Amino acid sequence: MSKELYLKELERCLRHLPAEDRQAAIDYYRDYIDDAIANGDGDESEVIAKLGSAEELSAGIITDVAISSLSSEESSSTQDDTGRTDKKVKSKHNAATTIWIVILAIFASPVALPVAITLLVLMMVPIIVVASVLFAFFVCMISIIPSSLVLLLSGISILSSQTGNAIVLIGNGLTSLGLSGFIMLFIVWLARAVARAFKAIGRWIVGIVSKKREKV
Amino acid sequence: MVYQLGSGLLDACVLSGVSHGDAYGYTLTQQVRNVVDISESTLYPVLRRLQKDGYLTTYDEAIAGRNRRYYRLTDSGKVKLDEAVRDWESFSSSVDALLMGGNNNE
Repeated sequence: MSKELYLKELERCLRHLPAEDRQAAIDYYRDYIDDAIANGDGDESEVIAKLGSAEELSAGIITDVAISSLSSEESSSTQDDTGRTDKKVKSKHNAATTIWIVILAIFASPVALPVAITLLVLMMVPIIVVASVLFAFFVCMISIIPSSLVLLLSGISILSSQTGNAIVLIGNGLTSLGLSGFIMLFIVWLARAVARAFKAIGRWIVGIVSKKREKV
Repeated sequence: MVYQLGSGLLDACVLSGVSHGDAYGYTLTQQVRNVVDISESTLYPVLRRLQKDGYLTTYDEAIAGRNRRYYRLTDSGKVKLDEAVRDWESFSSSVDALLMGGNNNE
């Protein structure tokens, strides 16, 4: 197989990866093949045979991108408290991309299709459950904030005529505003816990997948 | 050989290879392959990770009508390598003592 054909094939196998990761891998292996030939390792087809098929090579690349995507997000979240400037450099992929790459890694691996689907479900269930809970809390917030504002405003409007009732209304309004603040904090806390849990699950799954690949 | 390089030691070998200058993917791979049996594709993710962590930078140089990507150690890469060498010295001498020291309990 010629170098160009091999790299085309590799590009096709990596087509679902983020463009930057795909291009970096192709550039590296283009260099690698040229250098192997220049160093007398054989002609194009011999050097390519040593690298293995484009599918095998791409499966390894995808798994490694998944691992680094899961770990780079972790380092960015630990740096959250200290320095925000580092964050953008370190976290290369957002959460959705990470989920996507982990799914790719599962399907690029040599595990059987039923196993792949099971792993996928394992990963998706917590995400869906938690997304629903977060959504429910979000809806609560949306309903609480306007109603507490109405309480506050009506309290203020009758402050001079019915001072007693007005204070009760204002008190209730402030209480529910405070409550929604707590819910907000809870949502943030929950979202962070979920992100950590997802990364742990993702690393576990990718670990299984990459072990499986090494054995083959 | 029954022994394998863990990922920490592999990182150290790559950093050391880069520290000698003019290092690119193919030569680094062959240097490590002279010592342990790794596949031709082992080093790509290692180099990429070390680069992402800021231990390595790259530069391109024109060679025979194309650009070859070279790797260079950054300052934090030098620190990391020194650390790894120190760790290896203490680890390897402990293993030496254990394997070859004989019975020192008396």
